[in-house]
Amino acid sequence: MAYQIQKLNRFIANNPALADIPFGVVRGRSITPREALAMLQRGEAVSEVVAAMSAAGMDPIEQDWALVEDYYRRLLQLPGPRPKIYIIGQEMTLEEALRHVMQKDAAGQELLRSYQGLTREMARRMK
Amino acid sequence: MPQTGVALFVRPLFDMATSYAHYYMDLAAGYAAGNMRVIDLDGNGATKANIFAALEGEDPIFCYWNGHGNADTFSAQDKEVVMQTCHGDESLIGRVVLLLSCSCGIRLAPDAISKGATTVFGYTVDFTWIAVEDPATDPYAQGYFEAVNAISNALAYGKTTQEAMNLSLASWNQWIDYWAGSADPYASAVIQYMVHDRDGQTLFGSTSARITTPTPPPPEAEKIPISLPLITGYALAFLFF
Repeated sequence: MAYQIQKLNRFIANNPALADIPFGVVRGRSITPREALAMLQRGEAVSEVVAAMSAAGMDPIEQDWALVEDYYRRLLQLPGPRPKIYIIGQEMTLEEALRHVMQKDAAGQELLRSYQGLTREMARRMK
Repeated sequence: MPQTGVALFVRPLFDMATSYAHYYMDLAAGYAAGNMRVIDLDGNGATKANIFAALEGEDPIFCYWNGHGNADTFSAQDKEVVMQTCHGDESLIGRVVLLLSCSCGIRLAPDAISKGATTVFGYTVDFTWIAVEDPATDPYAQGYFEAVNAISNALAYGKTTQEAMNLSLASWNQWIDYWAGSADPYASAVIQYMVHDRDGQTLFGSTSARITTPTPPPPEAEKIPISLPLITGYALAFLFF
């Protein structure tokens, strides 16, 4: 466990932008690297947290839908001004992005794929 | 036979999304003009008729085009369709092409290669970025377009297509490192779409083609990729190893 704590500490120090991004699910709720670190330091759900770290970027699709929804909900809680998402010829607000994710439509699936790319990048950096 | 040292830039401008590529491609066109003859079709000039007239009349070896697209279609000003899979892409024979357009890498780019295009850089995903301000001042958009411009900038001074691809990927990674270390509340979203675009950027066709003879780039032009991500990228590399 000390090794996992060290890895998370290093990850958070080197990647503060990714410290509060949900990357896995433990006991039914999504967790971020910072929350995972706090849980390990408290000795809470240790084996589940370690398992979530190992599986980061390789989660089942239903879990990824829950994670990406939580991710956009968290973005919407951040202070403004809120950026827009631009695709050549189109634009979308973060609120619209969350709606697409919740509806799991074509745009939502594209958002899911890009979120999966983000969690794979996080997993690579957590190694 | 396409003319070495001649480039055709196509920069439509009809909504907020195209305004970003329009702005950043202007920088790339200016940079390329230091070593190439650049034909620049922008805004209302970025029409299908003007594009084909330039292809026939100027016969550029390099095409850097922005526009709305999908797996089978590339369009220009006001979404006017310029070419589609199996129709129009034969005009790219012998050319090196950079299509800054959504998803053209899925079918249109490979089809153009099968018709005889030398190299096509395309995106197998919808090219996506985030922004909060106008193009000239936006803090988030810069890295996306600089990473794409790295291809054009490298080619314009004689790098091969593979070298240009490698420099672009290095630029994407430097910007991702930069934003990973940022305390900006939306940094994760910047990274999310940078990873998305980087991983969807694909080189089709020849990896050894050049559009000009190798020439040292002017010192001031080398400053185009800003130094901060470069420093951060190297600094993080030292932290990891």
